[in-house]
Amino acid sequence: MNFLVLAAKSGLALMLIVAGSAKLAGVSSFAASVKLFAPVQGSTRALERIAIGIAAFELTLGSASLAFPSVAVINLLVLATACGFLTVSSIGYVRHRGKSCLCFGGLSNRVFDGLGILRSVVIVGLATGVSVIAVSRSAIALSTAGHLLLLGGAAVIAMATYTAARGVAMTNEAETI
Amino acid sequence: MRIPLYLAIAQWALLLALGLLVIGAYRQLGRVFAGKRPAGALGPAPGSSAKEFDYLRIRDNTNQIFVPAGNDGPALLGFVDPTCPACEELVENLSAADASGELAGFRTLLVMSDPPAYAEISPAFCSTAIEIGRPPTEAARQAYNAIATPLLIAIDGEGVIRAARTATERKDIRALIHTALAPTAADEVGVTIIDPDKAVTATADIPAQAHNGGRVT
Repeated sequence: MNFLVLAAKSGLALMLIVAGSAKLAGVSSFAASVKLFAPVQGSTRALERIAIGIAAFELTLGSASLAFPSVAVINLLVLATACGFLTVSSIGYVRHRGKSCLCFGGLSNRVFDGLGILRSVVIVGLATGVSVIAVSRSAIALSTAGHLLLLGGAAVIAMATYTAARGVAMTNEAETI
Repeated sequence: MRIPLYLAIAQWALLLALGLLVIGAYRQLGRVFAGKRPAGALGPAPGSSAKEFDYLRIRDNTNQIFVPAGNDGPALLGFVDPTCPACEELVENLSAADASGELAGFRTLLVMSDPPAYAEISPAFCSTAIEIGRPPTEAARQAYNAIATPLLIAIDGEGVIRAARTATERKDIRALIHTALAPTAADEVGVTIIDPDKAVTATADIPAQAHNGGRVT
């Protein structure tokens, strides 16, 4: 059971890192998605700041979740974020069905649809499992070097994702004849 | 020294994620080198022919056909929805650009997929002088790969897609106008007009170009 829970935990953390970095690579596009859910009209700059905030939150939470597995409150934050994903997918399905969610920036073509809700339900299920199932302390007791190693790994994944997503965005912007 | 289970799992997960990213990046690169568009690209591919489609003109409830070529000039085609606030911003900016004469010479059409009644409750959609249409099916959205809105597409006078991008601001609109009006690489190389009466040999060698308005580069 330890193996499954920890694999789910690292998988969720990496998903957050990839999602956050990809969104940071295309802030303007993601701001348009944020605007779909804004209760009041805001300026483009304000929306972009909110978009950067969301992306940075996902990236930070993913990195912290990956590198500090023994901090239980991070698991709860991941669960709350997963519930947020489910809420956004559900509202998106009802109000903006078929529109791009830009959940992974320019790296995916995913739109608000039934499959998106199913994916969010699976993510909430995994996050719940990680939050409530106890694992042995020895399995998650990391040394300082271990924390630093995982933080470094998170940084590498974030940079690789940012570069890939930026590449797609730049190709889209430069695609003129 | 014994490695904690989590560290071993997380390291493998990191390695797997990095591997997947490298594979994904190489696939995208491969598509670009093969002359294809990378996955995730929004809008139609520049250089492709713009498609014709039917639509219901919201202003007078009449059926119309969007014909991309032969409009005596370039066209701007926008995929927007009244329920999308970013689209409202684009419509407001397009209206302002239209009022200031920036869109002079352009055939401009805004395509929405929301029910027509929604346009009546959106101030931006109500007040614009730009033509708004609603195709009866999703075929137009699919033909133009409008997977996200707002999407603005620049089409030149020959009915060729010149650029497509997410647009909300005036600078985005100006960039597309500039692209639609800019000469193509083929135009910049130089154009020779063949007189069919005097250049029989040349037209015989290149019949396709000769039939295409007698233009040879």
